[in-house]
Amino acid sequence: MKKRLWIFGAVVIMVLLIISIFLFSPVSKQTGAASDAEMPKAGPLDPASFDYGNKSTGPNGQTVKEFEIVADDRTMEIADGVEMAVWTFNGTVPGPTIRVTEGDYVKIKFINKSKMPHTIHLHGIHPAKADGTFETVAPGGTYIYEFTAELPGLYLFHCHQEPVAEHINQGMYGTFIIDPKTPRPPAKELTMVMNSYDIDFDGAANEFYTVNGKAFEFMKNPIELKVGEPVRIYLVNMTEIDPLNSFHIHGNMFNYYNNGTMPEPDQITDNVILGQGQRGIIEFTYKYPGQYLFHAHQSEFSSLGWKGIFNVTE
Amino acid sequence: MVNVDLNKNKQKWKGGLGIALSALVPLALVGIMVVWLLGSGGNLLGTPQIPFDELSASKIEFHPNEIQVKVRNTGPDDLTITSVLVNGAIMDNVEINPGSILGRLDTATIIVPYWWEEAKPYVISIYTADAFVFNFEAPAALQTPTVSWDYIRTFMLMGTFVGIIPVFLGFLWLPILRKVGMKYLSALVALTVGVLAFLGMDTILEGFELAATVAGVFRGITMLVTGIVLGYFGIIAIESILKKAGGRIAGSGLLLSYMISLGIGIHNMGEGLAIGSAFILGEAALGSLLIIGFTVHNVTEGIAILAPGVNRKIGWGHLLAMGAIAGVPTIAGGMIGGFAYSPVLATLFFGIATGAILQVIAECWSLIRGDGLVQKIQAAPNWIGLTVGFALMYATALFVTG
Repeated sequence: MKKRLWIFGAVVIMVLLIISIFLFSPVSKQTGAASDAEMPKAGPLDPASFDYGNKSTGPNGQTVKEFEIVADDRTMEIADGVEMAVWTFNGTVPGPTIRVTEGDYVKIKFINKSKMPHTIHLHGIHPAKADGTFETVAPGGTYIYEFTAELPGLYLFHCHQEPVAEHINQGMYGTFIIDPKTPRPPAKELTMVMNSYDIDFDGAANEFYTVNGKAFEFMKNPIELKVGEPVRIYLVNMTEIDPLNSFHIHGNMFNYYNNGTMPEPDQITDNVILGQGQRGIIEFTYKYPGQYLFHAHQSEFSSLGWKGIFNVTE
Repeated sequence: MVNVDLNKNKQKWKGGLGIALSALVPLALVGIMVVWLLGSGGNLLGTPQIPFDELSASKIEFHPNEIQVKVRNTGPDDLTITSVLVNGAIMDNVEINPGSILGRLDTATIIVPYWWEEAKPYVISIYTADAFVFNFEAPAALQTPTVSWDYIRTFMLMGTFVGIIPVFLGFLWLPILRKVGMKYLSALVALTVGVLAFLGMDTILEGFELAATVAGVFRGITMLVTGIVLGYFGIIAIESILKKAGGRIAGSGLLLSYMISLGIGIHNMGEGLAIGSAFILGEAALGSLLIIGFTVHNVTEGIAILAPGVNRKIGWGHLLAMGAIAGVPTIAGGMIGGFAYSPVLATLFFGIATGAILQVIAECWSLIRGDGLVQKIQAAPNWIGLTVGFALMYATALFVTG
């Protein structure tokens, strides 16, 4: 009797196992988990990296600057050990810093390798077709934005696909600089994009604030400056959810050029407040060596990642 | 007094008319009153006419590049949907079928073209013309199953692992149960009661949770209580029918074991319903951890089924039948939950499961040795069995996530 029962049990389990193996095979195909693991990594933006594009001369003698921007889906370590799914322009969050000179003919070829539709919406003066608002670029699609760069200043670009807040939260923005024909005085130049991450996508609050993409990055790897060396920072605010962000430096005062469109500074200060999408150029020179903090003056933001150090040496 | 000596036919006819009239007159009067209250008598109490909209969502479905919300007007009056928002942004190109004006208890399907992403949370907000805002949340979006062979297979697999395999695994302890049962049958029955008590509590708590999600107009708690009564007397009815009919089940002496399988089967159908509906509501990705948890948890059910019958001869056919009765409903539950989920029916169902388990507990109770409650509990084998049964369920429930 006992033996019979065990045989019975074994048979039942064998049958169930065979059935379940048959059932399992199509199910495993449905899960997309495997492809997530292979997602490429995105990195933060190097503050000293500028993309000047491919320079050539057009038929009418106008300088042509050609850029290529690829959108794709990646994961990024936005703070130590914290991975977030991001949509990137050229593999970084924030996206590249595109730099042209006043009067250049700008051609930006946009290739969408993401699984979501995207656009590139540039701020500044250009025809409607180069505005990147209504011309949705579907996954796998391309689009070329063409215009002549006018009015030197500091601009930005971002994806304008609805829902815009989601596309910005996931990293689709970058800096666009139009240099004046007469260059600005030489200086150590840096791009700083203030951003935020709502990692649980609840739309109610950000969990991290950073400058250039990774929380506390410049606390661990301070930015090296020299005493007496002029510094110019192209500061862009791409924070989502919170209407304002700010930039404050220690031990110094700076000239602030709102939007970088006017030759004279708007103010001399150590703290500027920027609304969403606002930007400005900051110029300063350190007088004394040492370590100086720079951070958002909203203490909440600085405690959540938007904080760094200038290491000033002789 | 009625004079019975009068013409009988006439009397019968008159009586019939009288009864019919007495039934219809109140109905007619109620009808007239309703018409009057809806019309000129509407302001009888002089209360101000303040609009009060209530909207319930029964389903949020995620299809490729599209979110669908099934809503029902559960308020007292008509309402008009004016705006549909996803994550705080007003959507254009929204389609509302059959239309944006919903009469009382009317349903509509809201179709929003949207590039949603798997596992992200979405809040669908609906504004009505009377300036009411309703928010419906999907904590983690997941492609909604449509009736297809792939999903049927998924639910069959889920049911097999959660419901069928564990029960049969539990049966494998029969030789050990027999050994124990020769001396301490009462303890084994007490163990079954412990297991069932845990299941019953689990089921009724889940029922209360579900009842809370049911729109007020459908009276969730009433549904739950109705279900409990139906389940309790349903088991009694089925048992008495089986006894009367005789046949193999009644003759095997395993009737109680069969009833326990049935009670557990109904409970497992509820478990399947919960997992299946998690698919629909976008609440959880069906992780293997959840399946492992239920598998471990449900092994105990196999022991509970056999315990009262260990001293009888149990043929293969009976084992197969009892296992199937307890396990297979999980598959059905999964499919119903996944393809045709309704919170109202689910609440009624959890009530039925609770009632069925209560009745099975009552039947097992009489098999536990001892005269009254106190004597039964005081006997060491009984309370040890009871405690072990409950503790086993508690410990294995720790494997069930969520």
